Amino acid sequence: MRKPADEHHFTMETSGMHLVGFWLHVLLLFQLSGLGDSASKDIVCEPITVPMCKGIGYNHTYMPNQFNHDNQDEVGLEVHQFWPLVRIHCSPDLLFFLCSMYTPICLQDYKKPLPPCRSVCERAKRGCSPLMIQYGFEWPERMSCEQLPMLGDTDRLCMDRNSSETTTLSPPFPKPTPKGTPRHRATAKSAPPQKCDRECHCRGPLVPIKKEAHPLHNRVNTGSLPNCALPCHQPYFSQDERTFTTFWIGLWSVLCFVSTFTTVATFLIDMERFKYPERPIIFLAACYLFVSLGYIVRLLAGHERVACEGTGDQQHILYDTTGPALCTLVFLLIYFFGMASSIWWVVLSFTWFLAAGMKWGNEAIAGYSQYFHLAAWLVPSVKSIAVLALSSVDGDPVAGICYVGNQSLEGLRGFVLAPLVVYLFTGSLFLLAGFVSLFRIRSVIKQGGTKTDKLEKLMIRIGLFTVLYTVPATIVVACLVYEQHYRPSWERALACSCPSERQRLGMGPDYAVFMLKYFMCLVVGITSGVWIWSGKTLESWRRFIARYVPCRTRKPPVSASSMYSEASTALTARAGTAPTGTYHKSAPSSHV
Amino acid sequence: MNFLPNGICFYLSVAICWFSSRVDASWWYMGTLGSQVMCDNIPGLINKQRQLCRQHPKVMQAIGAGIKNWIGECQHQFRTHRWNCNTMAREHNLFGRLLHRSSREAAFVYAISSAGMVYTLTRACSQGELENCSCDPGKKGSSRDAKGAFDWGGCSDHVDHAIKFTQVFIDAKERKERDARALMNLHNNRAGRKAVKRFMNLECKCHGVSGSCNVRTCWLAMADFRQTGDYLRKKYNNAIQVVMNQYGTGFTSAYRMLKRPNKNDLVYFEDSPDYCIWDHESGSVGTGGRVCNRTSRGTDSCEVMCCGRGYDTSRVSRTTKCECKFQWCCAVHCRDCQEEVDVHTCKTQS
Repeated sequence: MRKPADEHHFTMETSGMHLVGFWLHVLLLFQLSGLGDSASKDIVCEPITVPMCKGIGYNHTYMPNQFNHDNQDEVGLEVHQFWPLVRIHCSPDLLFFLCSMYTPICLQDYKKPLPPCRSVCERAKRGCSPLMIQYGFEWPERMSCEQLPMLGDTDRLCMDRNSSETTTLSPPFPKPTPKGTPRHRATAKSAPPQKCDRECHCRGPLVPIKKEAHPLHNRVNTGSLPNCALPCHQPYFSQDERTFTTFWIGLWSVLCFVSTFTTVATFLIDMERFKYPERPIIFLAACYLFVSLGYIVRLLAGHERVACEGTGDQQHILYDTTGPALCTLVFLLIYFFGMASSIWWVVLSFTWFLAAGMKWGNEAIAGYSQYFHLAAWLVPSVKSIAVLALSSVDGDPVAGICYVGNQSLEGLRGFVLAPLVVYLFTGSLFLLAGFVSLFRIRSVIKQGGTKTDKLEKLMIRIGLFTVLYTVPATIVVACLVYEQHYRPSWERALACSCPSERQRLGMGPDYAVFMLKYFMCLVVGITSGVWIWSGKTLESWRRFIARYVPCRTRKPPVSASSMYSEASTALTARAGTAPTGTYHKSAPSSHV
Repeated sequence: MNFLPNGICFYLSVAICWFSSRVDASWWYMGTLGSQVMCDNIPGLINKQRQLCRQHPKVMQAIGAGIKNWIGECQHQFRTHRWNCNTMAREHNLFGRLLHRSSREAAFVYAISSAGMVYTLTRACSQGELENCSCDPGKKGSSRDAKGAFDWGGCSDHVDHAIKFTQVFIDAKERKERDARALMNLHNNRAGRKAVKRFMNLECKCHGVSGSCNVRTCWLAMADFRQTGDYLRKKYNNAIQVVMNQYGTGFTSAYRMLKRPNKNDLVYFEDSPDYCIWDHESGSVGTGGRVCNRTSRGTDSCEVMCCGRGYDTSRVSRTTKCECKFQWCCAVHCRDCQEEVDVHTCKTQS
């Protein structure tokens, strides 16, 4: 009986000692810490320091806010991203809504949260969300209106104006500036408002030639006014349009240069590959190489140095000149090689007609190549010499190049328009005749059961190249017709009407027509590259590189390389012979 | 006449030097030996606890500052209960003899005190009040949740560090004994520590143009301690009565039909008293003078709270703020409402 009692007593005593020890420690620490320690996280009001949110109606806020911003510097960085939206005044409630979310109101005597009401959020969203969407932003999800209390909710108080104001309609988003506005702005700026003077005289921006010592005295007239010159730049086009013209011409001329340079280089490394009737394409590309070079020279030298004369207010476009070297250089590059390319196109269509329509072989056509070269280089030479002799070179106020016919309708019609029309017409006739012959041959061959894949492929390529040339050429002719038809009225309007009236009546050239003309002048050079776009080109270049690299090292492999070259030559010759044989075979069928 | 002022200056100089020397000596003594004096004067600490106390004086300060928080939470959880987690300042320990008995209430107190210490230390770490701990170093790089990818940033609460320290400090004494009560305390302490870790919130900050949330920086933060208190209160309601197994190494349920306790359950050995009357032996202070709810059906009803002894009713006038309205811009105006309510108080035992 005594033993259990003693054991129980021992257990209780031990337990008591444990408890006393532990809780004495706790009690002492409690006393040491002091009862006044306020560890609860009370909201601390601080003055609003975010510049955007000062003066919105309350002055104190607390941090962190609902977006976990620790201080007002972080708030300022983010909320100021909305400043452009606030400035545009898409909604009178936006600023208050943003600030009540980012810098929430802090009241000393009201400790519950006090967010903006749902109605404030919806008004701001209705006014500003369409504008944000135009810029590619959605209304932020974490500022959705559904999570905010309704006005009048007794459990959750919120902030809103007591009287409901009419919502401001979303302001119309400013549309892109219409095409005519820059011209109007430039015109309005250059011409102070004054009564519209309809008397014809040499007024700005035209350049009067007053001194008798001036080289152009009694030699130039604009709009039938004597001693009146056009300014350096086209007066109907704005500065933005002039800048874009430079970019436009630069873009296409560089592309043309790259494409034609590639074509010519490919021809030079593998001449055997390009025979008549396709060979004229190479010479056509070479001509466009130099035409693009002419435009590039203008880009490097600048509009004023190439196409203009004089200084300051007296600067005017070049008239009937043969003197300046830059002007002559640009003229020769663009006019001579441009006309040569047209003649090479005629040669191409003629040789194509001989091959397809008259059944000539490529050897027979090649036999006349000297005559082709004579015609292609001699005719433009004669015309260029004539232009220079007649002092018909003048400046182009739009493109900034020197050409013929810019200031003289006779020059434009005689030296530019007429030759282009003749060449286009002649070449088209030859091509059409060739196509008719090919279609006839194809139908005959098909009746014989022979495959016509190769012939059809050739027809497709010729047809494609025809379209790639005739369409741009036709468009250039159309633009020139438009220009020569309306230019007198444009010049007369400059002399006899004021800027506001010109703009109101829509006088003046169409900017797009000129851009189209310059593009079409150069696009043929770009598209002429399609003729060399094939696996053969890669083979040609690979062979060229393989032949070139071993030559540097004088080693026994040279002989091996030579053998390989001989083999390649043999293969090439054999490949060259096969088409001839095939073509020869088709002749008897056609004959039959 | 000339000699007198010089003499006064001389004596003043000597006096000033003497006083300064005395002050310096006092501060020197306090600064170097303060923590040692404090730790040595806490009775009941074992050597390991005193050693930790001397090594980490700031930790001890933080623990002391946090006691009020978890005691307040305990009193909140049991505000409608006969036993309301009251403390008695006049006794040597906070809860009197209540903790002598291995009851449910003792289990809850041990659990919530451990949880409170973990909570306090973690908070002190994150706020930079302690020198040898900081934010959770494991939270680096990127991760993702239901809303998408995010980068770790900010200061994630380093709960594991606090749990480790709390375990070493509080459990040091219990591990020296291997009796049933020590095992019970170890179990409930661990349950309390783990409870804090269950309530970690991922909080994020958005970075993006015009309020969008293209990039998020997130950190883990402890939830409010109330959630831990609510959780432990549920564990108290479902606490399991256990007995020692025959090997003395663990628990088994006191009733075969009940489940065995897992690591998250609270365990106790003895049934609780009814806490109706003042009883020195059981540590019960009785419910005399407690406020009860006449219309309630729960533990705070007058019938249950007063143990059938009846209650006194008195009328009290109370002023509250009501009908709050927001006035543009910007103030909140409330009306003062007077209301008279009946307050019922349990009769004391006769």
